[in-house]
Amino acid sequence: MSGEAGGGGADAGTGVADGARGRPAVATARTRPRHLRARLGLIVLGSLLVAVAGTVVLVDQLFGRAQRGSLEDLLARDLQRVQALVAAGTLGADFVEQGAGGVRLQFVSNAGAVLLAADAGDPIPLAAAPVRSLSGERAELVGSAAWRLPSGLEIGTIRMALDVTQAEAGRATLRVNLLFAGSLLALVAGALAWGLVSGALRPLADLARQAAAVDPARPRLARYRGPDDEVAELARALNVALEAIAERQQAERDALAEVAHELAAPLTVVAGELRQLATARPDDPRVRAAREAADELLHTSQDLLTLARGELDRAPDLSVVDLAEVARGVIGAYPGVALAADRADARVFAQPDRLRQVVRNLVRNAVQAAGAERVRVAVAGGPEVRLRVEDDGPGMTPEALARVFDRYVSGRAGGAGVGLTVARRIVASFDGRIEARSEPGRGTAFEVTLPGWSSQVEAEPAEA
Amino acid sequence: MPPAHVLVVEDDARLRGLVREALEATGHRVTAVGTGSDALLRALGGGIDLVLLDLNLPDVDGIEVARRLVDGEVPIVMLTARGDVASRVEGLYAGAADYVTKPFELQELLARVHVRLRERGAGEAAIEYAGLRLQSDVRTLSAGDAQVTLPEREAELLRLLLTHPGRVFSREDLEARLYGDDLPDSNTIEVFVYQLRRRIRALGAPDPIRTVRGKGYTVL
Repeated sequence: MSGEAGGGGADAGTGVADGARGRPAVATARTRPRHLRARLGLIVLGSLLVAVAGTVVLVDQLFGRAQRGSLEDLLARDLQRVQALVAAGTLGADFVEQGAGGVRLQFVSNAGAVLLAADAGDPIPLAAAPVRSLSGERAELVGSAAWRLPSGLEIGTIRMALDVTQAEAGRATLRVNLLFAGSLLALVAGALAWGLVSGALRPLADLARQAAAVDPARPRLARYRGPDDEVAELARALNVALEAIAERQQAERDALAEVAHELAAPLTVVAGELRQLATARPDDPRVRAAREAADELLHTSQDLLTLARGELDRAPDLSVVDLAEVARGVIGAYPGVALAADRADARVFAQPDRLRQVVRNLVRNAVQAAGAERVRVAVAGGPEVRLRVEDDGPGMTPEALARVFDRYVSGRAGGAGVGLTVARRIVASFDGRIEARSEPGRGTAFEVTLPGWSSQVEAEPAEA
Repeated sequence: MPPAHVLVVEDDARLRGLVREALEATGHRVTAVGTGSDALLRALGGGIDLVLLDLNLPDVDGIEVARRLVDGEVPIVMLTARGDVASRVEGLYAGAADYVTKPFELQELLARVHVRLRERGAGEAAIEYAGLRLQSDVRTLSAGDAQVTLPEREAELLRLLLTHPGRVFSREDLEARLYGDDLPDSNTIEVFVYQLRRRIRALGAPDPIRTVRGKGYTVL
């Protein structure tokens, strides 16, 4: 609401309310659907990453265990074979010295001295069960078995070291590959999840937008396109609420129309008879006061009923009307109000009685605020026709000004606050606009701008 | 304006009295009744120039009374109070009626009545406007010595425009008035207006028809 006031680049301290737009702009504050989407996306992505990491660790462990198992089997088998060959006496120092690719073999005495070795490598440690050990850069799986002579005498241990550097490098490569593939998968799945979450949230955001745009005066039901899920439930609940509001409003309108019907005839009679009486007795101040009061009552009821009956929802019946003439006619009922009209063409396309309603409401508003002697009305013709109603009354605060065209908001005690609302809507129905400027202590000015009749008429086709 | 005979149909006696007095003060002859059946009976007798009709009558639905009177081609100004009536009136309004919503200012009502009577007066004789003369019973349009006979619907369209100078008729409004419920092709009215303008220029007269952007046609 306050978004419309003071937005017109007005001088400091001077407020402007623009009544051209039919309805206060709904604040387009984002209801932050982005946060929910991001949160859900992060949760999905996080779970995917944890799952991938878990899988990588698990596969790596299982693979490592299987690899170690087969290497240990290999070592044990080889050791047994060597042990058997040595015990049978078929194996000698020459075999040991040949050395086999990736396998080191050492014969160590009970005293701990290396008696036979295929190379000058580190002594192989004693290990009852297979054990990983490092020899320089090489990672080895180490095992040992009893060294028995063919006689059966145990003279030391046969020690064997299996090079596992390659195997370990293979496992590391596998681990890296797994991590890479898993991360890629997680990213793809994450993007997919993001898309799905966004898709699922779109109807929600759409509903929020529609709810924010609901016109309290004429609530329209929200449209929902999406699966029958929790969001659909929300949409249904929203529509139930909107329907209840609409029903309530219709009931109020009906009641008002009923009251109006009851009041219409007596009001017309009172105002009409008093007018006749005032014509017959022009010098009686009491008759004049009564006539003025009756007219005011009549006009206020007309404003209220115009809104209540939804008459302004119908297109106006347009005619060419001279705004200066209308202003002159209205001001006739308010002695003291000054009128200035230039000589330019002030004709517009409008519905005469409604245009009169606009001018009357603006003038009445100013007279009630400041007194007739301090109200000036000016009409300027041209391609755009302007009507300006100015007073040097108490003026309005920027807050009051911002709401000056709102329904049932009155600037003063006792006013119904519909006159300006009606004026604004009528002016809008003629493709015009209405603006208010005011400052406390410095009066108020309303300006109506309507397109001149000539600017609305298409150029005549060229003579044939 | 020549005095006219106005039939006032209004069930509220005070309002009836007020309207009768005001109309008589402007020189018209007034017959005032309080029920729909009286109104129909009185209208059948003929000699009525205009009917002021309250739609909320105790016996017959005002809309029904209006419908029968419209068939008899008596202009009607309807008085309405309830909101929903306005929309129901719209269909009829396309025919021959105008309406004023209650409560109203006496002056406003008198102004409407005068406009309606003026239109009716203009409708009977030949219509003259800015050098053009339309003899609507034989459908001849003339300017100076030149003369042309118009097709029926074009004559009716021109008569409407010339008898309501300054008033804007939307395309839909014109379609409804010329064709009733049996609506024609969407560009029929445009074609009529184009033809009328061509004929008027051929007569050597200035073309008074104006196209109001997005709103319809008027004569100025």
